Amino acid sequence: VQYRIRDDDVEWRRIGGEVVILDLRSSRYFTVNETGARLWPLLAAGADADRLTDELAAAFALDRTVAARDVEAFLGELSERGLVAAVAPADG
Amino acid sequence: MADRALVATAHALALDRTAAQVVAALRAAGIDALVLKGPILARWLYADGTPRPYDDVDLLVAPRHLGAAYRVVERIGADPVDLDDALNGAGLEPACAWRLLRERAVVEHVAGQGVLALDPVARAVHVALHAWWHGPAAPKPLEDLRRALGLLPEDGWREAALLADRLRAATGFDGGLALDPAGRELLERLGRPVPRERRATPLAEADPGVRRLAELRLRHGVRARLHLLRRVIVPVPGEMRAHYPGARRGRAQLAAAYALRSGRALAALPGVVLRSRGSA
Repeated sequence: VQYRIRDDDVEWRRIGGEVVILDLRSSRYFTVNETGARLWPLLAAGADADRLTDELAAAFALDRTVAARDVEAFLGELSERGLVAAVAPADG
Repeated sequence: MADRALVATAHALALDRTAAQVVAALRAAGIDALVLKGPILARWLYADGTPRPYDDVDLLVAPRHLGAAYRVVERIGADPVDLDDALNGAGLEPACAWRLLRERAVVEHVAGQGVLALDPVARAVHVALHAWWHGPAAPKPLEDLRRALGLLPEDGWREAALLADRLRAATGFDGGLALDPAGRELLERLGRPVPRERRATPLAEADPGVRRLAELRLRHGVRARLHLLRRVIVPVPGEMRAHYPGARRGRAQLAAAYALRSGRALAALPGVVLRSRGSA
């Protein structure tokens, strides 16, 4: 499953090493820690889970399987909070 | 992250939502607005995560729509919103300047909505003018300028210089660039003179609206000057209520605020005229 940020419902800003997100529907704020903040801009640029896994594995010298699990957990949490939406992977 | 930076960022994001709401309300009323600074500069120049706090929504509208735009802002209760119909330092008659800038508008995504903003070239002009207007003692506009100089390619600055000339804003544009060492080098490469005067001539006047009279000598032509005088001496009611909280309480208080503002402006005017003659 590929995810994209719900651009119509969230406003965000990178600040220091973190990301602050405002959910425009609920007026709730979220902060994404430094690890997640490495992934968020890539997600905003349309990266899929594989690309995020590559980034995480490279940035923290992680085994790819471990990185993939962390990315999945990160995306799952964002999805649970309604900050990202699942989309069908692009063809081709 | 420091709590202060977190709070400032949360505040900025809330202002972004206000900006999007105001732009949508203006659009529904048939009024185009360009979002200046705020989220536009934060994303363009501070993508590295350096905080750039801001505390109001800055919008540019066509001069003929300024009064109506303030009425829309008041109707939806948006605050704090700073509406303007001209860039500080642009001497061209404001309606003509608006048309030039509107032609360069691009769509940016702010708080879930497409909004109009200046394109990077016009943004660069605005950033240089803003730095010049506030002078060497204001760190935020200078940092904006430093970053814009590092980000926009030289061809972009060349185009920005041409736009500044068309806006009759060369004094402020060159004066702004001259505040930064890289800007001074750029001026030389562009074949533009590095000005001696590196900031707007300040007025010793507490009221920011009246301080704007300092622009009088930069305004090109009678219409542009009359427009500025009208804006400073007799602003539209919405602007009065936005900048003088007491004026929101009723007609009598609004009239008193007008008397205060007009009085301050008229008292400052002779000095401005004398300086204009002195520098002409």
